[in-house]
Amino acid sequence: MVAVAKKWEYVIKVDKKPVWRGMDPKQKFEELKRKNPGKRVSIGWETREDVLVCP
Amino acid sequence: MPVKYPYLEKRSKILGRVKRPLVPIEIEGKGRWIPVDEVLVDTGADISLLPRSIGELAVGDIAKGKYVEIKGVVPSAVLVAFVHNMRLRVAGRVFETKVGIADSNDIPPILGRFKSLDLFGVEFRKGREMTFEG
Repeated sequence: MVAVAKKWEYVIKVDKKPVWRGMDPKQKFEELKRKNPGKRVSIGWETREDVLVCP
Repeated sequence: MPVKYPYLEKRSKILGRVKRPLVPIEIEGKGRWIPVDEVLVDTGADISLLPRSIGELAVGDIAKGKYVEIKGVVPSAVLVAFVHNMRLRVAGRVFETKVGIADSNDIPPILGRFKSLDLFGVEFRKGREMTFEG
């Protein structure tokens, strides 16, 4: 089997500071929400530098 | 009142640096608002779109939405998505719209036209900033 290089990742931020990167964010997002009451916990999606975006 | 967003600069191995029209939005789901960073403002997209994991945070089982096939610039690929009625907050304005939740994580979150960008006057200024009005 040929390994496919990761071309994207999710980023979770707490008060705009990145605290987690990875491919399966759901459990981590809920955990960080619980651990950071009152703070802005946000989620984003980023590509690697060798990828151009043309949806 | 108009809301301005600077384009966000990213490093690119192909272009050196690339500035993209990315905005923060919030999506409502499971009785809360979920902030989503860096959503691509895409006037070429018929509908707003979320990657699977972000959609699941908001609606749970994405397959409860209406099945749809979405075509982009890739000649051979069709993206399967499920359309849900969702509330979004964009540039301080809350509205209900239809959002496609992709059966894939390999797509960026996109703010498209239908009952989303079409609700605003959006100005793109010289690849540097956007203004949302309305």
